[in-house]
Amino acid sequence: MAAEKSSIKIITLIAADGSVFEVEPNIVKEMKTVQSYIDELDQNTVSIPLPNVFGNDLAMIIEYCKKHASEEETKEAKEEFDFEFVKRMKSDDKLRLLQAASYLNMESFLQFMAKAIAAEIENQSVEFVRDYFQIESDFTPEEEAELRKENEWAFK
Amino acid sequence: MSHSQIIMRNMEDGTRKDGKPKRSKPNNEEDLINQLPDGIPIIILSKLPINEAAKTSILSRKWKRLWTYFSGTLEFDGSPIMKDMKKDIKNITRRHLHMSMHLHMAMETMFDAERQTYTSWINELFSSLKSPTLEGLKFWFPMKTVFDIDKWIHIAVKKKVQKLELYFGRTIDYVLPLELFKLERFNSLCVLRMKSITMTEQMLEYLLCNCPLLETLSLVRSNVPKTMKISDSSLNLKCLELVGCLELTKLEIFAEKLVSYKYYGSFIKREFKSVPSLVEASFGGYFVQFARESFISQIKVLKLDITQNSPEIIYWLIHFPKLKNVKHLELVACFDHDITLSACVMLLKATPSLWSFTLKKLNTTPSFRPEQKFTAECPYSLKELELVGFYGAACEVELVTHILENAVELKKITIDTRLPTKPKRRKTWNHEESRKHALGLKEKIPPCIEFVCL
Repeated sequence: MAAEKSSIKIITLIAADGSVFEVEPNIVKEMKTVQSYIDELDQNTVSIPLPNVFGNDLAMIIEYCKKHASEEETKEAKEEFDFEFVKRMKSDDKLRLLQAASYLNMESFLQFMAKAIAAEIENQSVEFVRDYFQIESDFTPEEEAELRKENEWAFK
Repeated sequence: MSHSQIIMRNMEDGTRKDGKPKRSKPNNEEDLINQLPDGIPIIILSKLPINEAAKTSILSRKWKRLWTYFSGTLEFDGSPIMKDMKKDIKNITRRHLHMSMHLHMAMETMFDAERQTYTSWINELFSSLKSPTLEGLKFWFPMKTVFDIDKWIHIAVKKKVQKLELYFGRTIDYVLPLELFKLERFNSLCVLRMKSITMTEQMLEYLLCNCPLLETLSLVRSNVPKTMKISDSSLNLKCLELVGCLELTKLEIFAEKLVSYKYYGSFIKREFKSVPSLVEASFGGYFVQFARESFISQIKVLKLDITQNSPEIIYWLIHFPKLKNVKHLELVACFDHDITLSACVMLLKATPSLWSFTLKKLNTTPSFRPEQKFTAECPYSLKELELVGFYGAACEVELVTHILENAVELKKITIDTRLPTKPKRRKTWNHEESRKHALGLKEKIPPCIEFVCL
């Protein structure tokens, strides 16, 4: 059975919008959600629907995985790639990719996106962060004032 | 470990509930963050400084207590008021020596009160944090008693930190308490940096045996065993820094994975038995015998700080073997300009494969004496030259001229005139003047070489 599994050459990922990606098994290693599909199936070719991830996002994730799975790339080259990768993204993209990382259960990509998002909200006003995450406050002004007082040290 | 387990569990719950795709169009306007299981915002929070994380408590009810699951790095380096007060105390001691006694005592009392407030806040914060793990802990401010410190070290051990940085000032003699480490199975440590703290032989042995992940060990002005043995079958150590550990007389190293070694201090006996990965070395203090290190020929990145060495350094530099592997060389120098210049030339001759050379000068007064010339036996392979703390003294200009003549492949010269490396000199630093000198130098440089002036 182990031999059969290792004979899988190509994995087909189908995004929510129907776009199709064919990747090598080592690219999806970090996607635990995908990996569990592969482990359950006992076939040479695998086709996996990912109804929670859109094509554009999946393309970016695959690009990231390819770079990081490569043994030829140096640590510096990967860091440079990470820097550029984040730079070309909009806030929306980051949040969507974070969600995709969560759905695909990708530990290190999730950490990476969380860090990128943290960098955006660091040293910003509460209003900015609410807007960024599109959160509606459900506190009364009194409750908010009380919380501010409770954690006064954080708002200095 | 257990933290990520919590997250994973939450994530499973999330996917079960959200079996179907929630979104119908790619750019939906829903608040994505609120669809995610709580574990995800907690990961984001944990990448922030703790005060930024705590600020999210007023975003909404859902966020109110999320920050208390913070599992990132906590850095305590004194409150801003403490930092200001320390500066004031220093200034007053320096300027008003005759009347400082009472004033000094009054300020110390105020400092104590502020420290009390600060440490109480730290303790309160720890009692509100619920995460079973913390990534890192840093305590870097002067303390008077060990009571709180012991408590914090115990927390570090319980929360299985990966990174621990400790400095409690020079007046307190704190010994890293082995008994606290033995209370838990503490094996998560990757980075340990300590300044002015005692590391006993047993403690060191415990860390090397029980922390297989330990990659960086940095001890600055710390009490250490007379003989330090850095070896263990499971040792993963990549970076070792020993700076001003005066009690050390002998160092025995058997570390297959060691990449980087820094030693600032006086003469010690060294025994490097197996260090095949060692490629970065940094030497300074009164120690001048680096030319004799058994591993010196395999070094790729070499940093020398010769500011503490007497002129005899030149003797040792003459005895440098050819360092065929050195690609990057950094020299920090300050004393007599001719010695600096001679040292540069000798190092350049000893490093035939050099790619980049950086000279950092801790400035003395500039001298503008008649020009000197040096000859090189063969062309240098140097591609990049960087001069930090440049002010246009004769020796600096001579060095550039010498390198221009002998390094035919030179591609880039960076002149950094912004500040000397030594903070005390900053007040008298004339940036504009240095910049003028640097731009004057530019005229000597052929246009094919990139010239950067900072």
